[in-house]
Amino acid sequence: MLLYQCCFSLFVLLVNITFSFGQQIATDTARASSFLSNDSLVNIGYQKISSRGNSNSIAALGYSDFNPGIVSTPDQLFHGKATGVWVSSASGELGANSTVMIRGSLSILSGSGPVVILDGFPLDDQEVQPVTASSSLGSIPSKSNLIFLNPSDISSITILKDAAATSIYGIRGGNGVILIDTKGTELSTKGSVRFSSYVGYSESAGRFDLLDPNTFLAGVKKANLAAGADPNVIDQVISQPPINFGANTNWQEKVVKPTFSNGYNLSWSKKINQTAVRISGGYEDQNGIVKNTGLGRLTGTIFFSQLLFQEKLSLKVNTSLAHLNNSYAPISNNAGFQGSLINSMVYYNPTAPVYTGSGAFFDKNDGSRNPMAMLGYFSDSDNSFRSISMVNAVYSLRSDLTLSASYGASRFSSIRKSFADPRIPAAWSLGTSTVFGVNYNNPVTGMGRSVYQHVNKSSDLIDLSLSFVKRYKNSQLNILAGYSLQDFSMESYGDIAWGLKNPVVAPNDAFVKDISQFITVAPAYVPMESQYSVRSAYLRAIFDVAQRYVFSSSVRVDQSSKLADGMVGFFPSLSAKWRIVSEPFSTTTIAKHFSEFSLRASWGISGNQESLDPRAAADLSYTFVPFRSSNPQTVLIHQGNPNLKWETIASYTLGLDWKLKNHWVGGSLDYFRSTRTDLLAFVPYGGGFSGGGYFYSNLPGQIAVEGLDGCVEAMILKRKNIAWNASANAIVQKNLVSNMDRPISTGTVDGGGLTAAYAQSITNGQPAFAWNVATFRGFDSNGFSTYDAGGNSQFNGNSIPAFTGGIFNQIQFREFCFGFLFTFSRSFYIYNNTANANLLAASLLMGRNVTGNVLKSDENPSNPAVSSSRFLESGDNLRLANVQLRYTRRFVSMSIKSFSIEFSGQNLLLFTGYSGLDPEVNVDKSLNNARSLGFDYVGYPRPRSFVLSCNFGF
Amino acid sequence: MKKNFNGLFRRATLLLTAFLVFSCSLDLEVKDPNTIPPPAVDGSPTPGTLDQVYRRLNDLVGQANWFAMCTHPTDELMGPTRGTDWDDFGTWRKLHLHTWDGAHNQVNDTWNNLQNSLFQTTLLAETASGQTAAEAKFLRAFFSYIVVDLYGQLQYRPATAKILELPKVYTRAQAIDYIIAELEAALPNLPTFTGGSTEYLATKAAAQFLLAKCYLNRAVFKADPNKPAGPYTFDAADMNKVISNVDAAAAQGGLAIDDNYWDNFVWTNGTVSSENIFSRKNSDGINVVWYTCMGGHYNMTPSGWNGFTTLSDFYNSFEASDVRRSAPIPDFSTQLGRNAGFLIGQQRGPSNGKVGGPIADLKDRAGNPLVFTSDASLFFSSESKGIRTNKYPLDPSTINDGGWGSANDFVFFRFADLKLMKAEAILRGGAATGGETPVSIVNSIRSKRGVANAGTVDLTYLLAERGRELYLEGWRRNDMIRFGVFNNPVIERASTSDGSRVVFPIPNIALSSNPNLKQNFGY
Repeated sequence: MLLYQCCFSLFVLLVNITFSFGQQIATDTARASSFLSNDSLVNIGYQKISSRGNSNSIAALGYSDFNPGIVSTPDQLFHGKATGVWVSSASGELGANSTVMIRGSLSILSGSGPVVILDGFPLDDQEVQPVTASSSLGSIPSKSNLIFLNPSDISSITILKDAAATSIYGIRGGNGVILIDTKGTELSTKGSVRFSSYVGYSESAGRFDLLDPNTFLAGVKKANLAAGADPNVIDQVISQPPINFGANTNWQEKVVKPTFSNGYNLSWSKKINQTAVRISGGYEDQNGIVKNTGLGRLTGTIFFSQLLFQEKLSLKVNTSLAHLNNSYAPISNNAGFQGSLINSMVYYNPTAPVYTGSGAFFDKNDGSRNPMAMLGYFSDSDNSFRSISMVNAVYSLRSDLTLSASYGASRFSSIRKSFADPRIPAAWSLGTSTVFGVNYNNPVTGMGRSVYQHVNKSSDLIDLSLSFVKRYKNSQLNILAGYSLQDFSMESYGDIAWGLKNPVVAPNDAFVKDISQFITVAPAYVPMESQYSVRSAYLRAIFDVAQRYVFSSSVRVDQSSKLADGMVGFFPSLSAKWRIVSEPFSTTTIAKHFSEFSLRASWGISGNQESLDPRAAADLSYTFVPFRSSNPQTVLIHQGNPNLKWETIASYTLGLDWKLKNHWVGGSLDYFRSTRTDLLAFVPYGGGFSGGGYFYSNLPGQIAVEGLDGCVEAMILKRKNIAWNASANAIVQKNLVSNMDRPISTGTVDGGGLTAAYAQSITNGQPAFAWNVATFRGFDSNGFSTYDAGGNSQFNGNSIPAFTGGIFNQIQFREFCFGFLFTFSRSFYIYNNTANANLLAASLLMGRNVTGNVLKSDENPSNPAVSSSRFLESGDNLRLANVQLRYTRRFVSMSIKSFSIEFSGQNLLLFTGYSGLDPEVNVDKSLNNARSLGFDYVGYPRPRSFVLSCNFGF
Repeated sequence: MKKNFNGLFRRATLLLTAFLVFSCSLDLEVKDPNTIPPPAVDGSPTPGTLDQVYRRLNDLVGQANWFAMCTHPTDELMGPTRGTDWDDFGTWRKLHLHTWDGAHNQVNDTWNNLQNSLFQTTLLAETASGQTAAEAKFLRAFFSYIVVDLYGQLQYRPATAKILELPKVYTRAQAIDYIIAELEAALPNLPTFTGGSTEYLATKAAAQFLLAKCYLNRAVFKADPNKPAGPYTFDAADMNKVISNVDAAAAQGGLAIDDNYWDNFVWTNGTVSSENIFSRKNSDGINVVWYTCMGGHYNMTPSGWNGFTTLSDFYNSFEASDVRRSAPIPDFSTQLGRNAGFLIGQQRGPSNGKVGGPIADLKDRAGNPLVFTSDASLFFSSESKGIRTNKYPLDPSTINDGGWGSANDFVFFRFADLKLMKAEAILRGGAATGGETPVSIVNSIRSKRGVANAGTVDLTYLLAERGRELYLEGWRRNDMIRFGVFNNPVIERASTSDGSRVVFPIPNIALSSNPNLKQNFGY
């Protein structure tokens, strides 16, 4: 509350002071990224400067560069188009979390990635919606925290790629910074009304080649005979339950179905004299290809800006609101032998019917789960609301000195409701619930269960800066000094309920989805509250000398309450650029052929504290009164590390920017090297002697990454009616772990008979997240697996692609525009945990379905399902990521000013040798908070989508 | 112009300064309602309640970790891999084959659980007083005994020390004397065992039972760390201590060999057993469904996990009439189609998987008759291989809901074990008391188990009798080591294992985080 008062009083004060606004900011940067255009402004964090004067590594994309289609999260907008940035979404689910890896560098700690700064407001690093852990279903992950943004409200995305560029964000910049600017902050001079809508069709892009009933029965027969079944009775065995139930059900078609999505956006903007306003609203109804899944998004933004007092004061208010409704299917990332929905879909007997004669869901009564019953008996959805508001006042003290003050506030609240129906068969063994250590003997079967989880979050930001810009002839000095304070708080609590007031028994009784209909409601877990703040001061100076030399340096000082007391981080950077093309000596040489030819060098340090528990440095207990008790209890939640500090990332970059004189081709090429030290990890206390088991600590050792990234952009053809642009970007990188005092294991392999298996390691002398499994050497003559080194784990390749990039083409012909994007990733391996858990000869032996290639293999049906390099597959791929065909018509003197209609397709073609559904997959298999990379495990299938959209400008 | 600038600049600077001062005065501390107040001062953590400390026993109740480490390496149990099931990174196989190492997940997880228990019991034992402190000391001694038995080294850090202070380490020889001293110090303040709900408490009888265990195994723990498998030299004075503690415990609360062996394990064992000295109450956060499910087949009721099997040599050590091998349980067997004890041959059960359904011959998942065989292969077993165990029969009325509500208490210390310790102590040189001899003690038990009296009892016979009486109660590993036969070949482990296997390694992760720990001999 104090914070509000402080800000508003400040705000009122500022409004009363005169002022003017730097001219740069009024310029439209909607095309900022287009490399071949002339000089443009780039956002380097806290300020925008001319791209010529930028000496750091930055990838900038404008609105016209964004990928088309059904977009749930902003990372999909730049996927494949931002040089040096690798995006891997966890699965094909709408709004799934993505791993964004910038220049091959990532923290060991799971959940940490680039910090996202929305219109100057740093977003919380933690997951937003609650995660559902519905007993033996495993945990159903939450979605991306960027799901709240309507992509049509975004005007530009800028990615700061190395520690020199991100050091201005200090303790939060270590994994990169993504700056997202919404429309309105760059309002063009003319007002307009725009309406757009789309309708999209999605279908599964890949399918498991599952056996039909006859092939399945033949496979079961073969497997049983090979395992020693009596040949005289085998035909009888496969003609009756539990092998043959007589029906023909394609479970995959039941669970994964084509769907339609649609969305509408309306915006109005107006600029009259010194007042500019933009208001937009959007509604999207995105439906997932798995039954019962979807994302409903209602968004609104209000932007208002006013120049006052001879344009000396600029006042801006920017508010975005979003209401979200997610529905989830029971697709978890760590299910055991019974599996989650996609597991069941793969293995469930194809001769089994969906329903019995009485209309109830068919059940094999052996613990396996009918996938349609899973969909019918579980319900899981959330409702979330988020608002982010920024008030910004910029005040010109003098033509070269401006003061800027901002106050920002974000508010978030979410409730996730899940229900399990009491008709769930007991053989599914969903267990009882332990509430604060007390087992209430409340099995789901017969009682049903509901869990409500609430999460409320808020964050407040004060940012204050002073900027000095002085021009001397053709040189310029630009100094920025600022201070910011950001505060984050979070609370979570939940209820669990069991025992229905009105029991449901008959097949056609309604599934009760209301917690008030349950007899017992208890607290589900220990309620949590947490709070932390980051206090910072920053200073940056850019000296652009004679348009030939740019020197830039910044320093940020940060203090975070997440870390140990008294830990003050100091994050410097230095960079320089030499525009050789402007040198007098190059007039007859380089400048004759090039319009741009510059060398860049930069060095900097940034830090990382993302995804650390806010109370990681402090001891934590919680006192509460347990359910059905009157005695308060104190639970030790964890013990802190009083020496905890941030992770340090130091990097340097050498770069070349070039463009030919006639502007038809240009590009850039960077060599980079970064070193990560003070590695944050979640490790045991000395000897494990503690109540908390593990704590956050900084480990000795380092992870070093080096490589090259670059892009080329060319205007291949330009005639009166036709233009053809092409661009390509790529990164080559390798990384190496050294001097750590212990290996860190991660990447749990899940599935029946795979408890305790893991496949990934962060170990000295290896790339980070290298595969570490037994080396498979084929089947012996009896069909049993053979392994090197007695079956002990060995290093078996990289999980991070060594070479990735994108190739984009755009052809403009009169009013038609045709574009397509290819993306590729090479030299990495995927762990096919789906195959390890399901696609084995032994599955047939017990009457579980498999894919066609299992039938063809020589594997003995008694061969154990050992995790090994047998399930490591090359993930090399080339994908036609999107295609877009647009027809635009502009009108003069009509009420409609412009009209465009666009047809686009996403994920159209995939060329890969990978046997799973899609090699771009990254199901979270973290272990002790160490992230995993490159796991495929019965995740949400990736869709292929087609979208028809139209835009009207009035 | 100049003047104007100065004025404006001054105003702006003042404003900025005021703002900075104001902002800095905002509380940057972690205003966390959950934070324990004192750690910033001395870094020492706050102890939990006695109830929470007892709750640490729950870690011991389950098919994995402590239970698995005490059973799979012996002649009473193994976990065969069955096609896609039960490979589990070799975790079960490595236990049976004695090929575990410091990276073994259960070796690691059990260590961590036990260190957590030591940590929490220490906080209470050293900050509380009177009976509460005594109970916490007993619990710490029990966990310490398990740690020393399994790992051969015991970490200790006083309750008042900071969390980042590395624990110091007692050797196995130091640790056993420390545990005995702790138990003897706690004894006067512990309540007397009076049956009923005192079997859930740290009573004098429980402490005396544990003291007897300590003295009985003291020679094992005092052995040369480089020759952990012995041979051991048992001291007569230690054996007399075993006997005096057994006698003191046995005099309390109407303890007697139960006329019905299965009274100790059925869902009413909390009231009907006359043998249970120290157990964990079912309603305190545990269940025994795992005990049924770890061996039960998928198509049995409740649906099992089709896992672990008993070795046929062990099964064959029982006489056919021995009620401990197999006996019908009233209410249970008629409805479930099976006995308590070992399960072998054609299995029967409710054909619809529900209690109340017609009892019929069961089939495996492929539809073949479900016949449990006496043989099983550790690497390649099909569904029906191996003998299964049903030691804690579940309350039939709870089974259709999964059996979670079945009220069986989990037993740690039992009277029959107490008496067998006395028999062993006499055989190992202790002085007999109360007119009891090894033969009379063994026969006082055998006479209640449906088998003929033993003529003579030597150590070999006694080990076999302990196996028959106490199978799958967590003592087999400890017994086999003390009797010097732990490394001998058993079914599916053809060769003698190295003597170093009588202690597990210190887990790699723990070793890297506390330099005071040194890896055990042979690893």
